[in-house]
Amino acid sequence: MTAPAFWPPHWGFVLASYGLVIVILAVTVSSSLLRLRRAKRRLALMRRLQQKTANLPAGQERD
Amino acid sequence: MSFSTYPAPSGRWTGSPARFLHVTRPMALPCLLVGLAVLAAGLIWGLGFAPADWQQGETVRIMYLHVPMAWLASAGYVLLAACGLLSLVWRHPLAGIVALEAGPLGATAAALCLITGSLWGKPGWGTWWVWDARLTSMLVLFFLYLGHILTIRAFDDPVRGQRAAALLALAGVVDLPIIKFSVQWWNTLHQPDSITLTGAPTMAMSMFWPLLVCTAGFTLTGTALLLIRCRAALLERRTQALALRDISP
Repeated sequence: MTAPAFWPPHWGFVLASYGLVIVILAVTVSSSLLRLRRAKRRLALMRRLQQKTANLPAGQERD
Repeated sequence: MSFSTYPAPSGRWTGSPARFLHVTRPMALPCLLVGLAVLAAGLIWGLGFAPADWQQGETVRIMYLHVPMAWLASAGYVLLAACGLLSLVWRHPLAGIVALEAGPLGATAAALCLITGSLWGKPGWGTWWVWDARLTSMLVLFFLYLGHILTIRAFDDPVRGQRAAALLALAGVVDLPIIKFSVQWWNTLHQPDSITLTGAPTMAMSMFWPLLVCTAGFTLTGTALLLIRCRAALLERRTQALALRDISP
């Protein structure tokens, strides 16, 4: 395939590099943020669960 | 060391996980946002406004990705080795976690350095790969990262895994001066360093500034990602500790 006249030579290599790095960066950033959010939620859930268990009336069994 | 409580942050930096969580809480997200903003500015500058090279043409724009990735991969390995030393000698509680989380980030940077270098090499040298000293030593660094990632996770006892990985990280440091000086010690296809600590850069300033901005952006973003991942790892361990406490009789 002949490149269009306005297409600078080797521009495909440049765009491939930028595209790859940007995609990897986006995946890494989003997965790291999601992991942190999930970790925070789980910790909060665990704390709530423990508080609930601690506040059970005397004589009531824990599951 | 307990993960179940946040002690009040007071006194000097102790490096405890609880203090790390407290100190990095307001830092991680702003650092990431600033890093991404600087990075976006640098990439737009490099891709759209920096001049093309008189010999390499437009492919010189790959430099704004390739050089920061090489820097991040090398700096990340120095951090890995420092964590190894802290972990082995002083049994620092944070060093193992930082090493665990820094490994994949460094390996990604090394892989992207190799791939962007290959994409730069094809139009420039006419080949995707040569067994050149600089390229080969960078490939070795990538394998060292992979070895570290596998070793630190390979043991049932995490402390044993950390120790074995720390030894590997310390032994692998020998590759860093080889990467740095390979272009001086051997006659390589890879060009010599354009930027040194002692001398002025040998590239045009119109290329040097966007390169500096991209490097700063990648460094800030990488640091923020490391902080975020370490925070997540500490919170996960804390949840595990709470769960274990809950089920224990």
